[in-house]
Amino acid sequence: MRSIVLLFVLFQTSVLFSQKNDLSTQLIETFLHTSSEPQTNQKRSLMFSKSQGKERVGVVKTGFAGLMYLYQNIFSEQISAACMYEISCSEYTKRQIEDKGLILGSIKGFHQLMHCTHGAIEEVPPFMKSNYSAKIKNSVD
Amino acid sequence: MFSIQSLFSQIDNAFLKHLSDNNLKIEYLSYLQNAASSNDTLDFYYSKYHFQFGDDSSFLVHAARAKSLLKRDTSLLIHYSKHFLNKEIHQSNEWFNSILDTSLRVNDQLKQLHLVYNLTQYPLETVELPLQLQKDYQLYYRATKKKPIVAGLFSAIIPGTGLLYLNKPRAFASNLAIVGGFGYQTYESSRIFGWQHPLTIINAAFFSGFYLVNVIGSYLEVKKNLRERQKQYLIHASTYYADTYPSSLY
Repeated sequence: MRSIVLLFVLFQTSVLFSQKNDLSTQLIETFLHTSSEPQTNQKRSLMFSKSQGKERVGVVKTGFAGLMYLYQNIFSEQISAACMYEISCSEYTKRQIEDKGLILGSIKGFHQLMHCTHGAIEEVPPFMKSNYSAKIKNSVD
Repeated sequence: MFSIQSLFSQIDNAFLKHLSDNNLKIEYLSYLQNAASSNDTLDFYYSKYHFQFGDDSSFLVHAARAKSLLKRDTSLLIHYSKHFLNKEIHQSNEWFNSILDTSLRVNDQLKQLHLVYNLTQYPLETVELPLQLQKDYQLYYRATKKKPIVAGLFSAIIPGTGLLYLNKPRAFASNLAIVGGFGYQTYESSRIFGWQHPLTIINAAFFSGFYLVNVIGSYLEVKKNLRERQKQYLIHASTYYADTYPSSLY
């Protein structure tokens, strides 16, 4: 019971920390007129987007989404993760789980993770290399 | 006025070219909807309309119906064939293997484009390709010879070797390091703490998870590699023939 409460507190703290509503961000947005447009590489969503509209949400899937959320918002920044793919491995895993289900989605996501090395860009065909950065385009299935 | 005029006249190709050049999509469609002409002719112009405004599925439906007219316009057939070299695979297949049949392949350029698309049906030695395309084609041809099940088996025996089979040494090294690392960690924790210790169980779970991903991933990688190599070859072929065989819609 105590561990569950601890986990809940940790989770809530991480949610609070991840909300970047600090003064400096607001000032930058005001003076530079930068709008917070949706980006392709969104990291902040807690749930898999398709799950939001459903009435029943799987416990395992939700747990996995929570873990991914924690990783993307806390650990990823702490370890300065620099993914070699345009859509980062964690985001790709989330999207694959959303499309293909937990098992196949996780396999595909973790398979990309196992390829995510700096030399990986040498082993893909030229059209798979990003035009804008030294990154690899994620495969489209 | 525009609709009434088109009702009593044949389709004016020059006028449609004018609409097409000026990108007047609604006017083009309206003209066709009100035109009095045979079904073949209408399908022929509808196919041009859908081609220009990016609806490939509708284009294929109308093109299949207007084959008798398409046969007379080889320049247009070349234009369409170049476009379908690098498109969604099911659409390209429909164009090259269903619509562009032997009755439509009336000149050497069309035969060449059909051959370039369906090259893997022929042995590598018998095919004559431009030098610029040979390297990509050889990579694609080699990819067609790789078997997913063999890659999976290799990776099951020694982690990562399925990727070495695909000629990806860096991916092999990373896979071997990850699976080997977790394997070694599991072995060490089992030796020190025993199999029932939580740390050993966690390590074993990670090891078996990554091992499974390595095997299934190698299997899937062969299929993915084939699609990527084919796509790369067709992108290159498409840009090469865009310059080599000039053509236009009108």
